[in-house]
Order: sequence, then structure tokens, then C-alpha cells
Amino acid sequence: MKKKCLIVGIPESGKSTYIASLWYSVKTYAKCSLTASDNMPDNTRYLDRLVEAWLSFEKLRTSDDITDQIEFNLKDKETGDEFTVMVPDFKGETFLQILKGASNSELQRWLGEVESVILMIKDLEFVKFNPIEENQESRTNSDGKKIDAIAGFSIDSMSGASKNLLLLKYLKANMDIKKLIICVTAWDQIDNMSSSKDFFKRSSVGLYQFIMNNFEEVEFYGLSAQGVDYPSEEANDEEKRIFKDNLISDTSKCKRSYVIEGTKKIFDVTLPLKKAIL
Amino acid sequence: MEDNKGLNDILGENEQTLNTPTTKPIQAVEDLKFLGDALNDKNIDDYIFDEIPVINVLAGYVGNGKTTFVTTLIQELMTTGCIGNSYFVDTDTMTGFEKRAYIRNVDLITKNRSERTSLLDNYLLTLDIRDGLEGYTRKIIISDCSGEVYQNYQSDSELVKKDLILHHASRIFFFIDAVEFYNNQLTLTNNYNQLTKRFKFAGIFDGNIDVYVIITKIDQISKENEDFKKNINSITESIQSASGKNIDKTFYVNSLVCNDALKEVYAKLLESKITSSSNNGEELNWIAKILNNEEDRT
Repeated sequence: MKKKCLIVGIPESGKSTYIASLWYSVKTYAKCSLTASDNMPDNTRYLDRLVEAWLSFEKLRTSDDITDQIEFNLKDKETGDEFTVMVPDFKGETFLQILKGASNSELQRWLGEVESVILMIKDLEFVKFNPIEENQESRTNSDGKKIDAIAGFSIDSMSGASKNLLLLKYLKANMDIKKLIICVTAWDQIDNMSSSKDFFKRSSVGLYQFIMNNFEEVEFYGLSAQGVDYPSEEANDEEKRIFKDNLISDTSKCKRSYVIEGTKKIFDVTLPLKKAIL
Repeated sequence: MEDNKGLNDILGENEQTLNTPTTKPIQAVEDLKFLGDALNDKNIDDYIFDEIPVINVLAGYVGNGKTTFVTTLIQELMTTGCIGNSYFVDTDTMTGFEKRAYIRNVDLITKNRSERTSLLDNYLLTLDIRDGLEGYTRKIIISDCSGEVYQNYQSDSELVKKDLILHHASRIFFFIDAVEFYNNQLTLTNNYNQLTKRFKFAGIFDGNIDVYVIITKIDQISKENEDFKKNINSITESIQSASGKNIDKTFYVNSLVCNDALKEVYAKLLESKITSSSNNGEELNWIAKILNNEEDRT
């Protein structure tokens, strides 16, 4: 049985990092609710590259849309059912281009084939004052005529909340979404004791109300696929070594990637995918 | 969705488009039209279908605070979720709102109003608002034309006559910049008086329309300034006299701060508006009337 799920998100929302941690988890951690079946997919080259980067603590960025190489042959730990899940890895820029009015035939094809969506969101804020370049102090051109302020506007100038609202509106208009799974990513950077749903609501109430009024089945998760923020370039060798040792230990013990379901921290990143497809 | 009637259908086949006329050339910046941009006369039908919207027209000259007003409105709705009992549910024009936020920020940083010609093509903003968390959802349209449009209207009745959004507005909010008024009282009073007369002549006030005045940037005028208060009364009386309509309320706001005074205006703007037909007491507004007429004809 083949199932399909679409993972969407604007650039740097954590889509590829999630896919990497997912592939490693299903292969490695027996306690996950979804595990890899013995029957490996024929081609895992792309997934293996992602995992290699994830295990080497390198930040992942997708440079091309990968739509036909990501298959997971999975087994539901609870029921023993086996199935194949196809998950494309569209780069964030593809979704940004959609907001700019472009069309993408491959994405359009996928929208016609899937019923569940996992939305990765890192930036929930609706900013009051968007960042304006300092050089816009100069308001005139060489002819002394005023420059049109709006010419400096782009989708990139918009807040994260607005971009995600537009992205969801686009998906809603172009596909029949039965299930919407919201993952607030980089959860390890968030200081929060409440549930992931409450956190989302508190952080972006307008976007929350839009979602709850426009989609029937919605689940909220906190997600840390990377596990921790990687050290900066400025960190010294000793700091980097300690960081690496700790992360190797956490990765080995299945204590690196986790989700927040309700208020509970669970070291099982397969839960959002399971919720989406089953 | 062939059965759905859009605004252009509703307004009749003879009128092909809703124009926002101006004697100045309007330059559309094609590559700046993004998903979720503000709407215009050609695509407003995509939003309305056969639902009855509440149309709020923000009327005022250049720099009178309309952009700041709508920016703070969307900011408040997105960060608190509601104003009074009006809860944000959706907007088809988030990019239109964000563009205005961007322009406002440019203006605040440079302390200098910038050119905004590219906005004129897309001047309709939409909000889906729900009464309480479980109540009825209504469609709100905000007409936010550039001030230059009203400068042109002031001198040309024909342009006003062609503006069908204005003709079918549920409410008009006249924006008056307190500082501008303080410095150029006679000019501004004359301008608003003449603009209101043009509206009156074009029949804008013939229907069941509420008229409000919003005095913006009030924080920049001393509260103790008695002359200002008296003079402000003179301009509102002038608008009232020229329109032949009672001004329902004059609001004094600083649109940069969403305090109780500003929330009161927003609450009014987001209110539903059911008007009474003059003859039979049926509670219908203008689109419903036209829909009924269409049905009668078929």
C-alpha cells in the first residue's frame, strides 16, 4: 500500500532536517511508532545524503526539488501493517515562488495526489515593524524624483505569520486537505512549558484562528529534528568538541530529536508522520 | 461556481468594471502583484461570490493616516485575534496589508511620505470576521485608495459618479490629519467641503450610509488647545452641512497606538451593517436589493 504526504514550509523552516531525522529514526530506533520494514526502498541515495549531513551536524539546505526519490518502507509498530510512504522534499524557495505568483507543475501534481500536509513553521511572528534597509533613507533618484516606496517591497519583507497564512490559503485552494499537521520547528530554542497548541495560539493568535476556522482536522506538534542549535563559527575547538560529544551521545541513545505532543516530550519524530498518514 | 454572483454581475451588465478613476496616470507594477495582494475592480468578484459584504470607504487626502490606520488594524487582529467581539478568521489580501505596513515603516523611518502610485490599482482589502468564536462570519471590505484619488474627485464630479464602490458603501470614514488641519485649516476645510459636495452631487449619501470623521495624529496636538477643538468642530460641521447627513461620530485617534479610542473605530468598522429598506421595512443592504431585482427579472 502506498501513502503520500506533503511536507511544506517556507525556506529554513526545517523540512529537510525533519526528513533526515525521520530516515535515521525509522532505521535505528526500535521504539519509534513507525519503523523501517526489512524491505528497503530501491534508491535511498538522497535520504542517505541527508542523514550523513545530519549525523555530521551540518545545516541542511535543499537546492533542488526532490520529488521522486524519497520513499520510506515502514511498519506500524502498533498494528504491524507495512506500507510505503512517499514524501517529496520541495525546497522552501519553491513555496516562496508560489507566493510570488509563480506556478510549479510538479507541486501542482503532488497537490492533486495527497490529502495530508505537514506544515513546518519556525517563524510565527506577525511583526509590527518590518525591517527596512537603512539605504532607503535616500528617497530620490538621480533626476531628483521621488522613488516609489512600494518598489522595495517583496514577499521576503513579509512576516512569517503572513507567509504561512498565504501558503495555507494556496494549499487550501489547490487541494483537498483532510489532515493538517502543524510542526513548530526548532522547539529546542523555545522556552515554553505549555502545550505546542497553546504556544502556537499565544505566539500567533491570528494565524491560529485562521487555521482553526479553515481546516477540519488539525494537530499541533513541537518539533526539534536537529536536537540542538549547532555551535557558531566563533566557538573554540574545545566548545565544539564538547558539543559534538554530547550530540553523539544523545543521537546514540535516541535522545536527540523529539516532538512535543500536548505537553509531553517524546523522542519519536515519526509521530507527526503517523498522524498524517494513518 | 457559475451560480455565484460577483460584484460586477450584481452591478449590472452595462457596467463592465468598477473604476477608481483618476486624472493622473495609474501605473501598475506587474511584477509586484503577489498572491494575496489587495484586490481591485477586476478581481473583487473572486472574493464576494453571493455573500453580502460590508463596505467601508476610507476617504482622505495624501498623508492623512489611512495607511497607518489599516496597518495597525491588521496588526491588532493578527496579534490579539479580535477587536471587541469581532474575531479575525481570514483575509484574501494579507499581502495588501503587508505592503501597507511596509510603506508605513518606510515613512516612519524617513519621516517623509513616499510615492505610492503602484498601490492605486489594488485598493480593496478584505477581512472575514466572526462574531465571537462560534458566531456568524461576515465579509468586510475596506476601500483604501490613495489620497491622490480624492484630490482628483474634489475637482471632478464625473470621476465620483463612476466609483461604484463608493456609491455602495455602508460607511464612509473621512480622515483628517490634526497637524495638517492645525497648519492649514482654511485649505483643508475648503477641500473637504468641496469633496463632500461632489459626493453629495453624485448621490453618494442618498442610500443608508453612515458617515464618520476620524481626526488622526491627535497626540501631536495639545489637549488644552481650545482653538483647535473649536476649529475641528467647524470642519465636521462643514462636512455635515455639505453632505446633508448627520455625522454619526467624530473619533480622535493616534493610529500608531492601538488604544481604546482606536479600538472603538475599528469595532465600528468591523460591525455588521443591516440596513432597512425605505419602503417595506425589509432588512437588506444594497447588494441584497440588487440580487432581488435580478431574481425578479428572471
